[in-house]
Amino acid sequence: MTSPSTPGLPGCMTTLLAAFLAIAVPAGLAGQGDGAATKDQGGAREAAALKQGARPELSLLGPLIDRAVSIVEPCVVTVEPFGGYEYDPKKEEQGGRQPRTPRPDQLGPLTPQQFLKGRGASTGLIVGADGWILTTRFVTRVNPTSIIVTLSDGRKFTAERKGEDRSRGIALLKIDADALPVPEFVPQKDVVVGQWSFALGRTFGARRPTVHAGIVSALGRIDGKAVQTDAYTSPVNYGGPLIDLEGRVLGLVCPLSPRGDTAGADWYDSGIGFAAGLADLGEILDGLKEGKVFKKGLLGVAPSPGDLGPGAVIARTPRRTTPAGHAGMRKGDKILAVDGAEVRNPAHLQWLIGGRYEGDLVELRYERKKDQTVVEVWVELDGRD
Amino acid sequence: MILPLLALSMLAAPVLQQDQDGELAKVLEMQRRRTAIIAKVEPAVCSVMALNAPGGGSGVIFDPRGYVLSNFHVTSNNKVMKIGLPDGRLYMADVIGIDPGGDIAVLALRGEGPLPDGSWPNCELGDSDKLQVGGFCYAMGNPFLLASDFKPTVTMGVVSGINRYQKGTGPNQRMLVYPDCVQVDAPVNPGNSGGPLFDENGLLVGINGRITIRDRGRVNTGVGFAVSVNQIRNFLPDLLAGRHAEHGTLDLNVWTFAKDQNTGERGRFHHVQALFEDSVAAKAGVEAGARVLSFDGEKLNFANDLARKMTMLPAGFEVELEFQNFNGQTGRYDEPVTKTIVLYPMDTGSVKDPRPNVPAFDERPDFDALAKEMERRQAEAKVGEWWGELDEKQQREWRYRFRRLDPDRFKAPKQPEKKDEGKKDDEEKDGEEEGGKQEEQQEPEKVPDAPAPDSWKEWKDEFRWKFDDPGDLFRRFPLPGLEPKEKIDSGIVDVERLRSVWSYMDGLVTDVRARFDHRLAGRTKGEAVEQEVVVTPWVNGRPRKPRARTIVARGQDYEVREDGAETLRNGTGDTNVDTGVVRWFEGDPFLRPWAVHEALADAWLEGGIHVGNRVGQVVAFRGPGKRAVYLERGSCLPLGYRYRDPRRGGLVDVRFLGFANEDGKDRPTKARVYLSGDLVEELAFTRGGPGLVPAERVLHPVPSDDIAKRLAPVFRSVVKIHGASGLRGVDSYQTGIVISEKGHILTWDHVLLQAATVQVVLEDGSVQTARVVRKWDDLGVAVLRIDTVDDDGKPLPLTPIDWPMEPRELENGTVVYAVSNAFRIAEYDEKLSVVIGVVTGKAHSDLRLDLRNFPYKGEVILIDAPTGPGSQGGGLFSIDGEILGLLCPIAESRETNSQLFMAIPAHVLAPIVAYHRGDRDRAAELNQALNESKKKAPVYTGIELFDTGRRRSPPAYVDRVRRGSPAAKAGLRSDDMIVRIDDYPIQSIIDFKRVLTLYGPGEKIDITVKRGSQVLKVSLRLEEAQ
Repeated sequence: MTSPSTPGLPGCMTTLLAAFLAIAVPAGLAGQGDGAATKDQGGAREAAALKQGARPELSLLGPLIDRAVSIVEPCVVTVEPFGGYEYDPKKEEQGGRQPRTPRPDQLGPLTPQQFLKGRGASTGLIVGADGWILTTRFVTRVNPTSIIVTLSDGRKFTAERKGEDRSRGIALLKIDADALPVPEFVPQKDVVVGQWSFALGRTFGARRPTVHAGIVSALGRIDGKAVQTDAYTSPVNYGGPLIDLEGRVLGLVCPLSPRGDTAGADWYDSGIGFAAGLADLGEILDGLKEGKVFKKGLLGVAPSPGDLGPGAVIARTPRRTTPAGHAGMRKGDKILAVDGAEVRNPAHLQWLIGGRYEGDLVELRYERKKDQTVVEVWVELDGRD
Repeated sequence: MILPLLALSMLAAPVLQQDQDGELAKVLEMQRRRTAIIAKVEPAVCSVMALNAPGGGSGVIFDPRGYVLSNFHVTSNNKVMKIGLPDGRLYMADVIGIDPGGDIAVLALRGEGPLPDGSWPNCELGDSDKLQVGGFCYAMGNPFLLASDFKPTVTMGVVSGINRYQKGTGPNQRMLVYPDCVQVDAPVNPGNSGGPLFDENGLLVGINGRITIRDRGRVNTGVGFAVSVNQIRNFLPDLLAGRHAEHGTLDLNVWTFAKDQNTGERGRFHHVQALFEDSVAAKAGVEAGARVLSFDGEKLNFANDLARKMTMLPAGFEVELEFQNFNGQTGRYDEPVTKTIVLYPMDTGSVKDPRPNVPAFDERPDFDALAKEMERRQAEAKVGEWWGELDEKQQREWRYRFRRLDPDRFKAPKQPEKKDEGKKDDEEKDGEEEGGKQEEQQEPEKVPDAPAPDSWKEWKDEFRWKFDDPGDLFRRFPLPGLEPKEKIDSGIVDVERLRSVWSYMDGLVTDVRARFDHRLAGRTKGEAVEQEVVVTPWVNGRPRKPRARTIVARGQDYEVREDGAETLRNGTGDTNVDTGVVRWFEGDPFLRPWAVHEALADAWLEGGIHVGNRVGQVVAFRGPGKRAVYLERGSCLPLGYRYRDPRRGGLVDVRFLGFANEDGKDRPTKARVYLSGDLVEELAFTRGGPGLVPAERVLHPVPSDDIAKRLAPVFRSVVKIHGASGLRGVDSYQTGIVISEKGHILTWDHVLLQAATVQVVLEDGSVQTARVVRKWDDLGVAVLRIDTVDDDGKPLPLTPIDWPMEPRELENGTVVYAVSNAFRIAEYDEKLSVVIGVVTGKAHSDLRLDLRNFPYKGEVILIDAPTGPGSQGGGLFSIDGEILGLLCPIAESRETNSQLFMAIPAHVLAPIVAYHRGDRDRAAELNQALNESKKKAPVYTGIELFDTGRRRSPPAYVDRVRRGSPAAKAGLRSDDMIVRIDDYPIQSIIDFKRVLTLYGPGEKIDITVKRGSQVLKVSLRLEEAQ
């Protein structure tokens, strides 16, 4: 198999070279040469000729994906919930009664109808060698009576539910096993938009994890807590790792959406996927092991919508019960900074607050327009599911 | 191509490791290249939101001066939008031009950009016709508005098709038409609208605007459409000029027939079915029934081509139409004629008042210039008639408006105490605005109508040449080597004679209707050329009294004379005003564009329209040569011009790169020439002379891979299938693959095939009738057959696909292409849609298809390439073009309750292919295999499950185990919860019963149960049910 463009070199070398050049030198030589060689010839011969000039990145990619998967594969487990809240899929399919939005006093576990078909096998990722497994709230949301975890070697365990981070949509499980493999995590700061990312899942009883390929779409989503990917995420891989080409974990694939975690699953296979960052979990993981539930921070202010910033002006005087109301903030106050970070606009304020957890203390600096004074207060945030 | 390497590596593991490391390094390098490209264009991608309303879309800055492209359906009729840039900040932007017909809007960001030199981060325009189907592209934007920090989402995919025609919406489907769009499988979701589509090199090739959604609500299904940048380019001058862009039409209805409608001759003919008597086509001599042969020199393949090419061009462009009228008396066609026709504006029938860019007065930021000018004119009482025209109430209103806009300047005299506060604000806001402050101090609000002389002087120095003295303007922009008497033939302009660029601009100003309507008439008086310009100013969307100007040009000089409006005696009066129809005026080629510009600017101001920083911004000049001139915002500096050059075969864009000031005169020094978006030449002006020297030829880098070539044979083997499903809501289209020389086509067995015959559309668009030869129920596939020759005995373009007979091992992650007619996007001879993905995994197909069981029971290939309705029967191909499988319809997994994209492996279907190619031995083999998998007898396990009797299905808890039964022998106990049977997950009692039907008596199964906190696996041999 000699390449038509540069005869003389050994075949495989040439084609590799030509293929590589083709990217480096656009409108390259390879194209012209191929054109001359395959002109006016039959389909079969053309197809044969085409095999020589396969797209460089893609032909190299397949085996590399496989290799990356092999590295993480032992850490990817199947998580199957059984029992829990019931729902009637038929009724749902027939467009039965839509679930009502719960009133604030009804918060807590949502009805399964609200949680789009959140049943069936899901995936989990080993994060602790002594049996700690991270999965998503997709599994725990229906409050299953039992959860069964299947390791990559086929061993099955019943799992115990531990803590949850509702802002990331993740839940921690514990199985009675030790000496489990733990993957390598990449901190979000080392992730680059546009790099390859692969979402792994272990469903369908498959020997090998399922792979969905894509690139990293954005960083710092969900108030800075998740990486966004355009790999298709769905119940097939919720709870599985999002990995890079070198088999390191970028995050845990979650049905997240900024509107609350119920809506996350609505976007499955839409090219908008999220992976909760794990490298930055830190103390949270310890809290989860203790069974704590973490919720997204809530200040209790409504900024004016048309506000371009800088700062965020409070449109309505917050209620007394909210942290902001408690701190004595009023309508017209302009929040300038959160923990020393300048607030650019109302959306940025939400981003800053949403990145914190319930119970966190933050330092707010705001300006009171009336007397032109700048006030600094410490506030303890409320939580939101 | 890397097979030899790999084969070697198999023998020695360390070598493999090394090779893979080398490959990894290569792929990482390519990845680095991609991330760098994305990082480069990312700052230009923005979120576009309404000021106080929820919702929004995306946009992209394409010009360092802060011009943003977005969709019309994002801005709709808003005049001001807020824009979030990836730096996390919000900015204001005015909608300056809209194209409702083509779903495009152009916005201008206010103020200075965030870059150190005050410019805006921007991207470069690419060429959408150079895109390769199957090549990578990146869609960016803010889907679901989920980026609270305005950092865009990047999604990658491949180009599924180019030059797609997607019809519009609204009355007559003429609004939001996508006449020339790029179809991509990069995930595009609601909120991506208006966002950019970049090619592999980070050049803008389209504006994402439309997606095909189905079943899934408002999320992506692997089909996104982007308005091609080549189309947008045609309308940019209009949009930048603040016009309501209009698409061109010939106003005739052309259909394609397989038989000549007049003579009965066989072939493919395009007949004019209907046309208006007064349409531009009829005036050019086209008659009903005529054959249309070519458009703009390109032969038509289908009537759709005409619609696409025509709609891509703005109204007023000249096109060439070749046609043949039929002579009924002789029964023969006349000789073909080619006529040049000026496209007529297409009525979108959409927007009542299509003037997004007449700004509401309380939203304009920069009123300085106008305010001062107004005051000056009032003070000088020379040309300020319009003010006198207003009654007292109106004057009050205007004062109020200006005061609101600029409280510092129009302060109410009776409240001096507020002044301090205002001034303080001013200082805080902008300490550098020396002039403004000075004026503030020197001229308190005692005499609000008279501006400070100093500030006016400054202002005048800056702007004088714009408004005051046209001669000065001319001195500023000399006309090198202009020969006033020289006539330029319309339509043909030689770029190398750029030196006489000014004389090219013979075109007359067309309507800049958002501002004013006008008409022109010219006549020659000896040496001088007189030109009348009549301007109807618009104030807040309503026309005011027309004003007339006469421009008299003599050689290098010209003057603008004010005349009474009565000099307007040409044409049909004010029809423009109401209908919004642009008329094109035959003009005199000697007319100076500057003069027209002057006259317009002048009348503009007088008309009381605020022009702010957009005086002289961009005005489209059009005429016989169809040129448009870009002008710099805030000055009359020309940025370039554009025209259509038949000799070069496309639109030529000339953009000036730099100006040098020589003896107080600005001359262009460098220019770039683009042909249809492709940079073809760089031109340099030699110093002191007007000659142009072609610089080095520069080519845009185009994606290099030969993917299109590799897919070419695929397109010859995969065909579109149309039929009548007979059922509402069931698709009447799908895809098929040619498998034999004899015309056999393999496809998915769908409701569609219940009809005796279906229509098969081949690659060239020809339609053949096919009949169903055989259905293979257990595989869910069917085989059709068509004739291999057409009616005249000519062979049809059919290439049977090279079908592999042996199984091919597919690793998860292998890159694949799916080729099909998903969503019936490709019509006639349009190429099928190509989507890319990887092999996700393999699964036993315990699947649900439309509430039924999936017919095929074996293992399927799962892919993450998005397929859709109509994909069934299409092909799954490797990147080398080898077939890997037959695409199935989207089915639901019972395990995860989610939809899956998948294909039946090719080797499973190999016997069918062999059979129809005449290999009967393989067929026998196949029949035997199929018979074995026939329905199995019911089985007995002895397990009784705990069923609460409710409809909802609980987990499968064992209630009782019958004595002596297989379950008892295996040691199952009551209260065990059944988790799995072999690899089938058992979520509920229903699952258990269903899965057991897959087995026959005598088969051995593994049952996994949960007992307490233990998970156990037991084996049992099934018995036959009694």
